[in-house]
Amino acid sequence: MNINKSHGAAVDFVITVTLLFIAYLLSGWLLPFTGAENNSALVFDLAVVLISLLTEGYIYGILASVISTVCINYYFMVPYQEFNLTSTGYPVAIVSMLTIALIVCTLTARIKQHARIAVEREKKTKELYEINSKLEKEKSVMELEAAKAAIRSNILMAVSHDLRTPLTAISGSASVILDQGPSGCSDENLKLVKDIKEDAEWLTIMVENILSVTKLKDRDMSLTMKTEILDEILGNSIQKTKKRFPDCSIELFMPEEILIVPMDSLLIQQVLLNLMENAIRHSASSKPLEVSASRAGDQTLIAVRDYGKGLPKEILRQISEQKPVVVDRKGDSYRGMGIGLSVCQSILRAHGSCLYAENPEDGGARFYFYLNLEKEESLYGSEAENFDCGR
Amino acid sequence: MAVKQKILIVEDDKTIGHFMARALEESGYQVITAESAREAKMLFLSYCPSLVLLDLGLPDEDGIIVLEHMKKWHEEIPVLVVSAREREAEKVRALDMGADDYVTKPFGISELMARVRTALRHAGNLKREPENLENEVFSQNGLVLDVPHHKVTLDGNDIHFTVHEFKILELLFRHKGRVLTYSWMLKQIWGNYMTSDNQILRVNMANIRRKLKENPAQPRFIQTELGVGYRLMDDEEG
Repeated sequence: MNINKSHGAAVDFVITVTLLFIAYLLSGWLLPFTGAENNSALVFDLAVVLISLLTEGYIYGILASVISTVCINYYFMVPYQEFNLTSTGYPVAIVSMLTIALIVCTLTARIKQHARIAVEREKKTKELYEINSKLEKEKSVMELEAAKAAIRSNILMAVSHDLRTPLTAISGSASVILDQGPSGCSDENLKLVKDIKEDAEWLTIMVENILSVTKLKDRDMSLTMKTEILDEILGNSIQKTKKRFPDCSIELFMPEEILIVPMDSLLIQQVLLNLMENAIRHSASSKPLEVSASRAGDQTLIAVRDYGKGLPKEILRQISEQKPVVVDRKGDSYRGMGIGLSVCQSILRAHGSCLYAENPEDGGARFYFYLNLEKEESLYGSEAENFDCGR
Repeated sequence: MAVKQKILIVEDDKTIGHFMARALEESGYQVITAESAREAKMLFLSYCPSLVLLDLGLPDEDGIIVLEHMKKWHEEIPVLVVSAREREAEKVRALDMGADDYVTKPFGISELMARVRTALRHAGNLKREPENLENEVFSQNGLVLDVPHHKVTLDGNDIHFTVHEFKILELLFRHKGRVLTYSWMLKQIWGNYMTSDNQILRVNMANIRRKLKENPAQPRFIQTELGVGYRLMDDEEG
């Protein structure tokens, strides 16, 4: 029987009674053979030991030893069937039985305690082991996820980079043919070549968009924030757009003040390029685009507006809810608009800003966003400390 | 017709090399192509071309090292570097190592041709070290810079310039058509102690642009090469 198994008081009581009864029967059976010099004390001792061993705590052992001494005295000591407290050996017997019971109980209690500690320790070790292996598992899952993400963005990066080269070649080759003019091929073919060139350029922008988003999603690649002069950023973006769409006209409105803005210039240019391209492609208006920048407190407000047909309600709603713009494409006329705008949104979000859009009352569509200006104290301003030249 | 000018194209991507060659031939240049650094150096030494178009991403050696060799052998031969969009640092390094100009991938034919013409026109007569003397008056497109009198006029009107602004403009005029990197300009104007912070230069430039009434979207004089530096536009571009 497992000694460390704890059971209820009822079971302990039954064990005690049963064992004492067995001891009584055994002693009674032995009595005719041994007479007055019987072994009943030893039999009861055995019972007390067993009871102490099998029951919880000291109480049953002590109880059993008391009962045993009474029993022995009453049944198995001369005179039988009555108490005789005068016998010389009797107090010794009582004391020794009680002592035995106490010692056995103490020992078993100690053993039980040890056993319990051992079991608990084992349990804890097991738990620790389980937690550990679970952690290991989770860690490896996380590592796997990170590795997967890294592989994914690496592939995207590589693909985008590798797409760039052939796209440069396609649009470049097409423009070589176009530059030769009608002497090279028929007007119809020239038109086809022009389409090839335009689509290759469009794809190039899309590849740039994908690259930007991949960079933003990759947690290891944070923004390359540098302080930039806003004139240069806006000017460059407009020049690039004009290079792509030579027929478009764009007006730039800048304040007299020099606005210095910390940003990732490549990505903010991407935002401006996308917004301008959208306006050119989808506004269906020949009126000039307006790009403007102004101060708004310690921020700058940058806006791109056209005087075309305005934005569909769906897109306005998505932008006002800060949801990624998804264009329900009926036909291909809005091709790329969704991608372009959602790239703008994620780039601006990475700058702690966001994209706004509206259809102004006097027509057209207006996209705008805010960027924080560089803190005043690091502004150099104009060189007041310099003496004037030419005086 | 005069002897055709030879242009060496170093480009490991065949299709890009092909269309560049086609475009240049179309414009009347003789073209030699190389697809590796080894081949490029060999052809450079044996042909002594009038100009080199050098892609920096080569299979066998860093393009920068090829540039270093070429500039050591024949400093006077202009080298145009071809590099990807986001590699501003690479461009700056190439320019500071003597490259004459750069084109960013993806580029258009007209842009490439314009850069080639500019580089050929200024080949040899434009070194990084200004050899021009004080006594000079530059003028371009209605902008006149009178160095000895420290005077700037735009379309006949006097414009007030600070010392540094004047120095910047003078520097650009002395290296017309060339991209001047931030660090190089800072060193020329403020001396060695001004190192990494190019903001002072850029703020000065923004002031110059305002004084010259430049439209950043369509500059008349100064072209911003974002992340790299500035360039005074050639007469052809203005």
